[in-house]
Amino acid sequence: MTSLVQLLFDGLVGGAIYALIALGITLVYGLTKIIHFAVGEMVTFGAFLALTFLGLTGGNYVIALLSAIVGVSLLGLVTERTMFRFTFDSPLSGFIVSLGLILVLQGVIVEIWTSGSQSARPAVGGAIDISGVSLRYQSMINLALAAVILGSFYLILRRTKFGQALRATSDDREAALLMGVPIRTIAMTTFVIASALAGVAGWIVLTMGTVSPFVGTSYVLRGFAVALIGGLGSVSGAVIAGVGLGVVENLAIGFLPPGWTDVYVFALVVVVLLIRPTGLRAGAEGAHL
Amino acid sequence: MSSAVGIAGLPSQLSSRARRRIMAVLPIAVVVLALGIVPFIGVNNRTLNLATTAIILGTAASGLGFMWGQSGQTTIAHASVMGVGAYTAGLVFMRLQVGFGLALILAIVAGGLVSGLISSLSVRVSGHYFVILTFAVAMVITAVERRWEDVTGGVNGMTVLPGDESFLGLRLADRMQFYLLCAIVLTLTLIALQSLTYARWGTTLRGARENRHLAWSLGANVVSNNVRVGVVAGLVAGAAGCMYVFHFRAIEPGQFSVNASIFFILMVLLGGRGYLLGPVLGAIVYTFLPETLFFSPILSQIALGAILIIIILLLPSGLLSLGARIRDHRRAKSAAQASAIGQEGA
Repeated sequence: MTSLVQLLFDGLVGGAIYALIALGITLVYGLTKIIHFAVGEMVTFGAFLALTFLGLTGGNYVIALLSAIVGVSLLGLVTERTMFRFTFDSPLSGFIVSLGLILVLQGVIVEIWTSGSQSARPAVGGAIDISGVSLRYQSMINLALAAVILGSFYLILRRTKFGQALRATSDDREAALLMGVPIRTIAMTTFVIASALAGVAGWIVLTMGTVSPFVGTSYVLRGFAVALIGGLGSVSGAVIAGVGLGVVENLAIGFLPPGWTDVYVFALVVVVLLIRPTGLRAGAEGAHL
Repeated sequence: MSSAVGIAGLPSQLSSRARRRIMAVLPIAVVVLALGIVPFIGVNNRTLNLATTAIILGTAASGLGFMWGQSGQTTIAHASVMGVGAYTAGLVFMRLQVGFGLALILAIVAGGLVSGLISSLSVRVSGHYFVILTFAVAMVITAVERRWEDVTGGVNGMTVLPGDESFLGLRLADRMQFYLLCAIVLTLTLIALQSLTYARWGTTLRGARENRHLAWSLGANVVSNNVRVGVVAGLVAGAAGCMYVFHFRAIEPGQFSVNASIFFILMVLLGGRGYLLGPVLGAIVYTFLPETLFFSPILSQIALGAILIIIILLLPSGLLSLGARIRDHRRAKSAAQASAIGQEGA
């Protein structure tokens, strides 16, 4: 029983990372219909950036987090202005551009940092022990961080003028444009937001232990699966599905032959894509933003 | 290589049927000439190895080019299918001691089977979602190759030694003779793909690509056609996989990962979708460019990724479309001049 609770808790933390990535993918897809797979590489980029700033500041995790967010947001801004801006009307081209970006960013990360994996110590060491279940302080911080970010996103989308414009553009681009919504600016902002979320996810990945330049695609595929299961365009769906995938994955690690986790998870993605290509939640097109 | 330009220069009194026939045969004649000339110009070992690599990758890319160009459907599992062919050929050759011919046939069958299975998933999802689906399938296949150590050797990979095996009178261990064998495989592949393109089936495929619903309503089974296109692409990838493993003699799962599939997409886009020789040209550029510039593997990955982005943004129809583009530009210019003169007269 304790091991089950432990697995559930660990799954929750993993799921938070997937939910952050999924939210970025969902926002970009909702606005431009581009499936932005290079978000995974932005996660690793953020993690390595945070690692560098940890070294520069002698272990200041707050500055590391801020540097990851700012750095990856800038990367998102630059790629949107120089590349994705021109694929606004052709989502498949945008997708292929993101595949090219995967190659470029992976290579750049290896050139700047390393081709091997790097590890960092958690920002806050230690754990509390509740009847055999060990809850690491770092895991709780990461969960809280993800919850605050996802929660504030939910509120921004629901309660602000900007959120309203974003949802309107996602629903009907032309109608939104006719109503005076600057859809190009909104699209650009969305790419920056998705990148910032990837930066946060990168910092969390780093504080959980290790990061290597080549884990991006496996993160993004999980993130995409989560976005899809939750219904493309749905924040709450991304959270629920993200936590769900994290828990399922940890249960698989706990109870199925070890070493094959990747196979199960990716096979699960295939099955989900086949059974409910429009997401597991109600509605043909998934929930709206 | 520039078949489109050559065709434009044909005298117009030729019947359209004869033009069609020349258009179909010309690119293959160009390839046979280009491939056949290599043994006579005395290339060094390094160049010969690179040429062999380019031919093998060009063969595999041609399969993807056929699928993408004719049916409009692309995949990110093409390298995985080639990997299945490579592992199959390597396994039966090393463990079951079968001859090269049988290994090649089994690799082709395995490639066609796996690719057909993947394409049959398009019954459920199409377009964008199908591409994502193939991404996930590719990740599954790579993960299985990494974990199933008893069969594939895991991350340490598999080694294949051709020994003194020969096929069609050509010794596999001899670099030049193996090059000729690869050249034969490429030529046969191109002939097969070109015949399919010019057959009635090819027309049906292109029709469905332009308007899926219209093709359905005219009685074409679009889904079954897509599956069959997948099988064709898989057969080609399987054959290329077999040549790949005998060329490099050592394989590991990373060579057939999602990244490798993105490189195939690059090759097809670089040369041009819908041109028979587009993927081959793409493979030549892909293989020779980093080597000529003495790039490290990581640097060439960055450069090739950048090229992919630049091509899709600036020249989405590929290098071979340049000729047609320049011609269109000239025509538009002269048409504009003509209308300007006409207006002056009026």
